[in-house]
Amino acid sequence: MPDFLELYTRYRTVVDQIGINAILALSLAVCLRAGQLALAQAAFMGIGAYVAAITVVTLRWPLAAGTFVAIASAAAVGALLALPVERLRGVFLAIATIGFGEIVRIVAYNLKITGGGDGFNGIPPLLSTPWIYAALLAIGAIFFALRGSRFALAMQTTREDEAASQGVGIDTGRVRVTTLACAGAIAGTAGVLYAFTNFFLTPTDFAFGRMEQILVYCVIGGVTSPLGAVAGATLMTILPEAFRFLRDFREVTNGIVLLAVIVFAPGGIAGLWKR
Amino acid sequence: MEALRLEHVGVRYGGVAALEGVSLHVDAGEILGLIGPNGAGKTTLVNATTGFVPLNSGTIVIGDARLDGKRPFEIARLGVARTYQNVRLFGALTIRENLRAGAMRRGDLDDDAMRALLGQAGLLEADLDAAASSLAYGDQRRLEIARSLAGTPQILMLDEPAAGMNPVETKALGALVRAIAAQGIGVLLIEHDVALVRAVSDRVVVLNFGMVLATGAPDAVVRDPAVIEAYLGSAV
Ligand SMILES: Nc1ncnc2c1ncn2[C@@H]1O[C@H](COP(=O)(O)OP(=O)(O)OP(=O)(O)O)[C@@H](O)[C@H]1O
Ligand SMILES: [Mg+2]
Repeated sequence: MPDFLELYTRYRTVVDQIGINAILALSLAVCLRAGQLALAQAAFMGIGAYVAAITVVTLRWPLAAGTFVAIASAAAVGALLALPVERLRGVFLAIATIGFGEIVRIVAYNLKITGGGDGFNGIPPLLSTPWIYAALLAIGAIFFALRGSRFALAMQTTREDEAASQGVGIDTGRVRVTTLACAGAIAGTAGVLYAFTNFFLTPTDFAFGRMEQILVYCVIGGVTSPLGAVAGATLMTILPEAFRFLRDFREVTNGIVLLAVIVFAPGGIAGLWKR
Repeated sequence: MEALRLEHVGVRYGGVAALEGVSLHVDAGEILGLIGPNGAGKTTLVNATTGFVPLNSGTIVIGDARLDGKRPFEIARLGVARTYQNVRLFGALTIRENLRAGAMRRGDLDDDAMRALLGQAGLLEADLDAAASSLAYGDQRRLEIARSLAGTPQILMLDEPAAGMNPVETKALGALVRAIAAQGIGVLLIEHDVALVRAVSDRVVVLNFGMVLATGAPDAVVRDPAVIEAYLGSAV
């Protein structure tokens, strides 16, 4: 056991990152499952993180209350975001939602309550590894429970053919709003966990670079598979650490793995175990 | 079961009038054949009824409920089901998932109900867990009909269901359409195979250039000189 403890202390931040990144990947997997290339997860995460930090640290709310409001805010923003982008699909939806992410980042940069570009400092470490994995498990359990549900089916038919979905009586507009709200809640949860395990927040934590990583987790995982997304997040969080000896070049491993997956295993990790 | 009623329906695509002043009705348990040359507006009529294209004029009702102005999913929930001229299954999903999606407006389906639907549609041996796209083309058409029946519609609109089927399959399809109507469902059947339309329809409406050219009993309609003229003496 002492060995295990020592390992944990040494790699604790990586272990935490894996859990948080897996939750973020699940948030995007929800959208992709419904055929929505909505790339606002980093922004949802930022909203969750800042709202949690402001309510709990600045306003001195209890942690549970701040967490609840943070997750609810990210979910509400997700639902509201679905309205202006109602007519956008595919790449156009991707561009619009990336634009939304930029707006969130710039607003966070210019507000006083977020600490602006200097960041939000002095967040107490109120949460830790067990909380992160409890949240991941809980979200996974919800996915599992809903797996064969009519709502899950409606998401899949919406991805397959929106018009034909409407033709059998599925309100695809509601599917899209609900999907983005769920994505907001999940990424918002990741944001809360991030805030209380990282001492301080800056707008760049939630910028396009983060979004790109989340997309890579899902592509490597197999796009719509939740388990694949978690596996992709795990792999792509560990890899750069394992290649630390490459120093500044270690980020290259991400690109190489991504290329290899797209070329050799377009179904991602999920596609490999289905074969 | 309720009847479907179209009154003075007009649809324009830009400057083109695809339907103009079209009135027709489909009663419960009745098969209405809808024929007409290419581009006559048959598919447009189905699209207008199911909310896929907006009306320019006229009204559409099922029973007491207005359909015009409603969105497609609302119309489907009111009991109007359809198939598509180009099959639109959820290809990557399984046969089971396609049937469950079809039943969405009223609840869920158990395996026995699915088997019964597939049997009726002539897909008795189909594996419920096979991808819909793995079926042969004719079977995909049959699955599309089974999917639309899964929602227990009042009205079923079939857009060229026999396309690509051989004579034996076409005959079986005719029997299927008859059986559907016998359950009290009103069927609107678009078909280029006039023999099939004659064999199964209670009444026939002929569209030409977006207008009703003739309407009446199948045998009388196909002998109508104006109808023969519209088809240039061919096929009929
Ligand atoms: N989406 C659209 N945009 C513009 N014009 C269209 C559109 N859909 C159909 N049309 C035109 O409307 C008219 C009616 O077309 P429609 O598809 O309803 O005919 P149809 O009777 O179903 O023909 P077919 O037997 O070939 O299926 C045609 O002139 C067609 O070119
Ligand atoms: Mg047509």
